[in-house]
Order: sequence, then structure tokens, then C-alpha cells
Amino acid sequence: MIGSKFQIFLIMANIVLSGCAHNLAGPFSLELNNKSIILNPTVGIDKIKLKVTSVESEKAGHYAIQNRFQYRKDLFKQSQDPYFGAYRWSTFCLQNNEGEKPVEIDSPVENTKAFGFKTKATIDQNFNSDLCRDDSLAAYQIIQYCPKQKIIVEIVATGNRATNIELLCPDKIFLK
Amino acid sequence: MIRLLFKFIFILLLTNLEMAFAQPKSETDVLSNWKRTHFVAYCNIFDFEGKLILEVPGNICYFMPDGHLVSGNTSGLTLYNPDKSKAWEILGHFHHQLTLSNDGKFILAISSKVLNKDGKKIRYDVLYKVDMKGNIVGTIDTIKIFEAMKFEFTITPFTWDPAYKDADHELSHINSFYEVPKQNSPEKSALKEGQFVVNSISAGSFLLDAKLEKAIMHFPFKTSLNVTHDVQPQPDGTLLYINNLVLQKNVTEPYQAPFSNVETYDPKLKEAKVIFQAEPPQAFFSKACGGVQKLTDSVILISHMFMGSYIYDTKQKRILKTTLLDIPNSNGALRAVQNAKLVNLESFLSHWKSN
Repeated sequence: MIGSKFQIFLIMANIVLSGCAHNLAGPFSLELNNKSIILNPTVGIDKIKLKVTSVESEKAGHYAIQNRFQYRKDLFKQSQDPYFGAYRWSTFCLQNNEGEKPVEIDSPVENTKAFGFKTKATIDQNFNSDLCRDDSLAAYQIIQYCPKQKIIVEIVATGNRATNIELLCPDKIFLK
Repeated sequence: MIRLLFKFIFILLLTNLEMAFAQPKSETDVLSNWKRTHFVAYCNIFDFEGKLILEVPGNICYFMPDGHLVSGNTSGLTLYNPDKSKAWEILGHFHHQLTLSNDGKFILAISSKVLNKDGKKIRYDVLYKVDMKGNIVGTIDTIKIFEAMKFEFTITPFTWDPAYKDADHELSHINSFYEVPKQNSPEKSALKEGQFVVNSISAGSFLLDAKLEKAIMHFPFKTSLNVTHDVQPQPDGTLLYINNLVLQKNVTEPYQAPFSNVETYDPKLKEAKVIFQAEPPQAFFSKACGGVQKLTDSVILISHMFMGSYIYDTKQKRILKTTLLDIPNSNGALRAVQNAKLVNLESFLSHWKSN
């Protein structure tokens, strides 16, 4: 699904995360890895890693998002502090980890106000963020709480159109 | 008969070749025992081959088996829960090293205070024993330690942590803080279980009482230039440490390159014993940082500030494994490693990564 923004419509994809993937035909391919999947979507978006975690309540969802944001902020800030005369991260990693504050995100899904943040991120070959290595890749990350589904969806994407990604909360999702 | 003789010679040759190329059993055992462990330096976790696998906030960290993270930096000491939320925070400048008490119930941390004198902002060290709820349950500072031991300190420029702006000079430079473990022969040891050993550059090490209220003994080491790191009390009553700046005695040349040793010091005999020295000695020189860790009775881990970590067999006098840590650095600049340790962090990682 490509428009001016690349939107991930989980609404259209009922995903069973512990088994085979369903209804993601077409340009998507899937690699299952615990509670995450890696998609190879289309031109401009090289790869997407999607991770879904269920939470108990809206309060817990907001708390988790705030924690993740504060943690990233701490990591990013301290990577700029010199200790024993040297900075921790390279310019490449610093430039590619700037984030935005968590905000309420409008969602077309009925009665929902998602809550999350978007950030640049450097990642390793397994799409793990929050670290800087010589072989780090530049990526774009969205971490978002979807209140109706009581899930946190985390997306990491690479490619020159990765920043165009917007996440819409899914209508249905099954966690096994 | 001649055939039998040739066969015998062939088998003998083969056996000799196998013996020449096979690793000694003990070496293989040591490495296989530690293969599942991780290198830790600063707040980075590396696999056994030195590849960075996790980075967390902070300059100094302790990774708990239940997934909690103790993290210290220029502005505070923080306990992170496994879900990455902050359990508590103590404000202050925390540096060099974080360890746990013998029972694992307390954090041993090194912090800073500042004395304003003669227009100088002079940093000195303060030691904290902190419980897991963030309460400081014991503390002593270097002014009190130096006064008790009648040690005459010198004031030097403070440069090693540019992010800490509150000081421009320092009168102490503590770089390690360990609790004395259970002693094998308490009656023969100068150390008592539960006491503490702290080490300060240019001062040597000090033995502190179990309540962190007073200094009991001073170990000056008598090293060439008095720079030592990672001074750890051992169950046999000795101190294990890296002696960073050694100069050979009876040198006739006008200039001689210094080198570093790993040594043990016997507080009773007041004698140091070299347990690692490179050949030639100048091949190993870790000027300003470094660490050591006892892995088995005869095998140690030595960390150099730039050149990686070495698993070294003190009996065979040979290096079993060299690992260069893939430490994050700033645009190609080498980042000195204060010290590296081998720890099994599987339990921490499983808790931390699942959140």
C-alpha cells in the first residue's frame, strides 16, 4: 500500500504471530522471530520489523511508551557525553537517533487515540535498535500504543522512504 | 620387520604432530567453560568473540541476573527495572566502577564531592554502599580516609570526565572499590571478610572497616609511578591488580619505555609478586586504565585500555585467547576501556530483552 505516506494497515492483516502468517500476500514476505516479524515490503522500504506486545490497560500502555521514550532519551543524551575524553557514539549514530516526543496519534480506527513516538534509530543486522556499531544501519522506528487492542506495536524500517511510514492500529490481531 | 619399523616411525611422527597442534586439555576446558559468558565494559555487553550485542544508558553499569540494571553516569546513579522504567535515582557524579557486596544485596559505588579552596574547585571521592531500594546505608570520603592514614595528597588538574563541570582539580582518584571476600585462612590474613579495599591513583590502596566508617590500613604498593587499577582482595589474603606504569630498575639508558604488569600484593609480607609480564615487557603497556579478573586458580582475564582482553594461563605463561572488543567509538577515535570482565549475562539478557 503506497501513497504519499506508506501506511501499514494491520487492519487488513490478521496476523498470527506464533505460527504462519496469514493474509499478507503480495509484496510482503515474512520471517517469524519470537513475537516479531520482518517484512520485505516494496520499493523504498527495504525491510520492516514489526513487534507486537500486549499490555493490561491504557495506563500500562502509556507507562510503557513513556518508559521507552525516556530510556531512549537517556541513551541518546549520554552518548553525547564525553567520558575519559571520548564520545561514545559516532556522528553517524548520533545523527540517526534523534527522536520526537510521544504524542497522541490520530487513528482512523473507531474510538481510539493511539499514543506513541517516532524516531530515527540505528540498528544491527537483526533490526535491534538502541545501539551503535560500526556496521549499524540507519532506520526509522515507531513505537505506539493502540488502546482498543491494548497492544504496543513497534515498527523498525529501513529504506529511503522509511520516514514516510505511518502506523494505523489494527482492527484485529491475535497473539498466541 | 622393516615394514613394522616404518609403521612404528609413522605412528610416532603422527603422534608427535598431534601433540604439537592439539591444544592442551586444560586450555580447551577453560575456553569452553567461559564460551557462554559475555564481556562487559562500561555499559556495553559483548559476546565471547567481542561483538557488541547490547548497549544501555550510562558510563558504568552492573547487570543483575533478574533483569535489573544499575547505571551510573555524570549526573546520577539509577536502577532501571527490566521494563526500562526507573526504579530510583540518586543524583551525583558516579564514575569508574560499580560492584555488588558479597551477598549481592548492596551496590558499591564511587561518587564525587567538591571542595572550594584557594579559587579551585577540588574534586574528591566519596564511597557509597546503597541498598536495592536506593537508600545510602554506608558512606566514607577520601578526605577522611587520607586524614586517618596521614597520607599527604597532592592536588592535580581534573580532566578525565569533561562532562562533569563542577570541578577543575582533584585530590583523589579512586578507580576501584571491592568488598573483601571470605578468607581461606582468616588467622593468617591481614584482610577480614566484609571489609573494603579502595584504590586511588597516586595514593595506593586502603583497607576500610566493614561499616565504612574508618580507614584501617594503607597499602602504598611501592610501584614505580604509583598508578594501579582494579585492586581486588582475594580469598588467599592478597590483592590482585594491574600495575600500569612500571620502569625497570638499574637502567643505564637515558630513556626507557614503561610497561604494565599484573601483580598480587601480600599485605602481611608487604611484597608484590608479578603474575603477568609480557615478553618483552614493553609489549604490554596500558597507561591509564586496565583490569584483571581471576577466572580459575591459574587463569586470569587481563584487559588493556586499547588492545583488547586476554585470557592468560599463569602456569603455562601463555595467552589462551585474545578478544578485541567492538566498543562503540566516536568517529574512529579509540575509546579506552576502563576494564573488561567476563560474566554470564544470559539471565539478565533474557529478562531485559523480553521487555
